[in-house]
Amino acid sequence: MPSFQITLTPKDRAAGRFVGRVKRAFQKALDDERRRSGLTQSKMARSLDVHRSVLSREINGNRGLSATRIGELAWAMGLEPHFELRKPTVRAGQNSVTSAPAGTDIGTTTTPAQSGADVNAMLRRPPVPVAA
Amino acid sequence: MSKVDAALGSRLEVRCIYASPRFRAWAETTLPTMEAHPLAGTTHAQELDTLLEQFCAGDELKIGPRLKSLEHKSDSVWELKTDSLRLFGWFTQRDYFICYVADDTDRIKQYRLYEGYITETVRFRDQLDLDQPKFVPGDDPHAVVSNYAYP
Repeated sequence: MPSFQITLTPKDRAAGRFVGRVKRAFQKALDDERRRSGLTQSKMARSLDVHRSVLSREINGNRGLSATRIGELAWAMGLEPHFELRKPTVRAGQNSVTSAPAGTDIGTTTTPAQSGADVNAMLRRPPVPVAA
Repeated sequence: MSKVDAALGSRLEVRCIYASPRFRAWAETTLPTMEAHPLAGTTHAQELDTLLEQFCAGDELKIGPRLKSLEHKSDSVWELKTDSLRLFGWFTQRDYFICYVADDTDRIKQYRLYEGYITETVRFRDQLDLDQPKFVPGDDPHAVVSNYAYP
């Protein structure tokens, strides 16, 4: 049976999938905080001084998020974003190294979008200060 | 029919999507020309690519009143959703989705295309030469996908 892919440049594919992981991290964090502390989008919107519909489009919709906004959303959830850049690994036999960006060792790397979607690691609770 | 290659790279394929000639033609000709909302962070094509990756890699699918990415419509026709796109099709077995047609969400709502797309999907399914049973009947998400959650 023939197969086909959605036509995207490797750059656009990597960027789009990263945005998707960020959105899912916020959606999961909001679900978790809703169960843990009763946090709602309305409460978040009030603390960020925006209408709830704007917040909903940012978290659930496709409205773009700046790094500043990601920091603000995480703050409103009582969380801190965890940001890390790393070299992804490739499994033996993987044949998609042609999508690796120029300048990388295509024998050992792949694009970030092709690694596992670890949304849990992207937002976490800040450390609790220890009393002296 | 064509199989959708979700470009999973190092991730394993857990679910499969098959494309009707209509869906494939739309994905190859119309999708790249669709303009995103000025405030959108991603294009329609990036949204669909991300959905295909999440679906085929077996990531958790949200089903229910909020944030749903999969919804039963009627006649065992299911809808896969992004913010800007709707995909209509059915499951031949658990985790095997056949997509018949897709379109822009705003366009579907503006021209009230939901019922028409569902009817056309059923008609295409009826005419398709598939082994019986052609589809998983009913609206039970457990019967059609693994790894789902009600947010």
